[in-house]
Amino acid sequence: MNPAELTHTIVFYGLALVSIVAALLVVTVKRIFRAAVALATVLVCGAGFYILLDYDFIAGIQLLVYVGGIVILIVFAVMLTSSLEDTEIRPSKSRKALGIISSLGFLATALIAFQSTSFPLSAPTPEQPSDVALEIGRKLLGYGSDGYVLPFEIISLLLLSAVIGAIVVARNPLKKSSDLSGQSEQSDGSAT
Amino acid sequence: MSFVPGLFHWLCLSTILFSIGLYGVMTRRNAVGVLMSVELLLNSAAMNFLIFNHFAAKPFIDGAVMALFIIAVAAAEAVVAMALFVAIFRSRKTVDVTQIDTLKG
Amino acid sequence: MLENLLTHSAFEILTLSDRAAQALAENPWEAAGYTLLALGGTGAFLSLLGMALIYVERKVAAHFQCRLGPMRVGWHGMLQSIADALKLLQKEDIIPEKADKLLFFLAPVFSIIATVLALIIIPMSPSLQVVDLNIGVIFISAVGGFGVLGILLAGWSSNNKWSLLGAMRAGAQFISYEISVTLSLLVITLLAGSLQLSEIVQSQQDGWWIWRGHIVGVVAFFVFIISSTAELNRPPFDLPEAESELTGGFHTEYSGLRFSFFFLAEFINMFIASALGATLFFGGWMPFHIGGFETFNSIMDLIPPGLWFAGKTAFIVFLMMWVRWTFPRLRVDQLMRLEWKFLLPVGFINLFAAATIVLTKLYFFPGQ
Repeated sequence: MNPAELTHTIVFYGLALVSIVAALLVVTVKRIFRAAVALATVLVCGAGFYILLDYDFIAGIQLLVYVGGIVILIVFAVMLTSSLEDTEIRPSKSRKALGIISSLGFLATALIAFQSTSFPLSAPTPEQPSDVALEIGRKLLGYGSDGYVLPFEIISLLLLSAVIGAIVVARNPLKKSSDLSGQSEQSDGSAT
Repeated sequence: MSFVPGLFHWLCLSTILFSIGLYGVMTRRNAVGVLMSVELLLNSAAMNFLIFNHFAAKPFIDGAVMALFIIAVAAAEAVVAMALFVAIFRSRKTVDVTQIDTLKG
Repeated sequence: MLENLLTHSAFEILTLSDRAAQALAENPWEAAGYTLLALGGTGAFLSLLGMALIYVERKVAAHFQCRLGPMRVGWHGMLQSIADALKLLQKEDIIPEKADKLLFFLAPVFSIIATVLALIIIPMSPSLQVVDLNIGVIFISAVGGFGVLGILLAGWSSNNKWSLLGAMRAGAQFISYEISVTLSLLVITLLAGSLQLSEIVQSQQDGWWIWRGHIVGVVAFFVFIISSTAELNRPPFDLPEAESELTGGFHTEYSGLRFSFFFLAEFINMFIASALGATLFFGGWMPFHIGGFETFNSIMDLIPPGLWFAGKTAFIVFLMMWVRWTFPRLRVDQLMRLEWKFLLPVGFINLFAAATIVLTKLYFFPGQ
């Protein structure tokens, strides 16, 4: 094992350990805000995995969108809907058992399937496109058999409708003023 | 079996993360917690696309494009979910998914 | 040496991580030395720069208000920051009784880690950069998210309503203005054709983007400077810690060393924003060049690149301080209106114009 491979292996197992422990915390911790911090850890480890797989650009986007956007939105949702002393009530025993059985069942089935399937692997060190970001840009806006311009446009429509829908849903119907002042009052109500 | 991470190791990792997320979706009572578990599921799905792209389709990068799409969908989903939580909390003063059952007959 | 400086080979990029990687195969100790140098250098730079910036801020503020500022400790108060740092370290470290202790502890750590991560990819001169990531621009706006996560953690875990309100304002402000910052960074990315900071610097060999990109470059610079001031929570956008409304905002409950972490991160973030602005719009360490005027360019090359970088960054830092002590604080609704109804449309139109200009090669010195 050469040094590069050794570091690759060590980093893989280290990140895997951290992200699995953090993922377990996300689903079990009683204080919901701590779960959000654990989620941020899992997502940062995810970016680390993407770098290990040579997709630096996707790792950057993961950090930018997930940590800079989604986690902060989730933290906002926590701040608006619960207070520091709130702890989640434990799930009932039957529900817990159901969850464990189904997730372990899924895990076992998937692992058996992976073990018994021989995937058509590509050659050990094939050429990676020199500039992944450039290549992704070409794909996203290309049309024809290998372009994704239609899904790209649909995603942009989806995002637009999500933003408009979110404003419509979250707006306080009782208030005529801008929805931002409504939001800050909401937070005040949940803090006290 | 070697310990150098190959396709199987990577798939194990993403599957473990997925099943942890599945457990969270089934057991979390707080709606924000359910949303977080869904984010775990989406993240491991995106990782799966990249894993297969890395090991089985290296010169092409279609898997990376799919991962980008998943990240975009996750962002849209988080925005809508947060708006819904705020609206539900405003009218019902709770985001416990077991308490929000007015549609139950 | 002089000959070396006069030719462009003086601008060979050699980051500390490159040096470490090169040395790893032959001499692991040398690689370890470079790693230690990078870590220790970043740490020392962080604390010294923080203290220097605090001193400069106080002096600039004082002169804007026709007073002298700190004058007692050392020559013209030069040692005032050190005295203040020592005082802060001696203070009692208070943790509120009902705080979430774990998160209360983690919050300043998040803030300072985000700052360090952003600092290591700034190219200060061709050989003074710790790592040179190929996704530099994306990375630097991504780690900003960690910083604001630290602020949100602080506000939440303090169990204080002023902290919570300040943190929520900071979060809302950050995600709003992040869009404008990214849009203006994308303009320069389009012009330079790269996300890597060192390549962006080298793409300005014929001139800085702020004048080569004429209208587009200037508009992008103004959008950048306004929205990054807002992202940094500096006045006139300091609503998250508006002391007349929220006592201290998110750091109300913090004291001693933990408070100094937030304070340091805030000032270093100002440096990082200025350095990023200098790198993208004013050519970073690249001397003032005009394509084709070789004699003029070689005279400009006599000034070492590190000095160019420091000068440009200092200029933008001064600009931010000037703004701080000139304008009154905005209200929340004015803040949001500025972003969503003014800066965002301007940013989008500017990005569109930049794409057109790049396609038609209407900027100065398009090269090949």
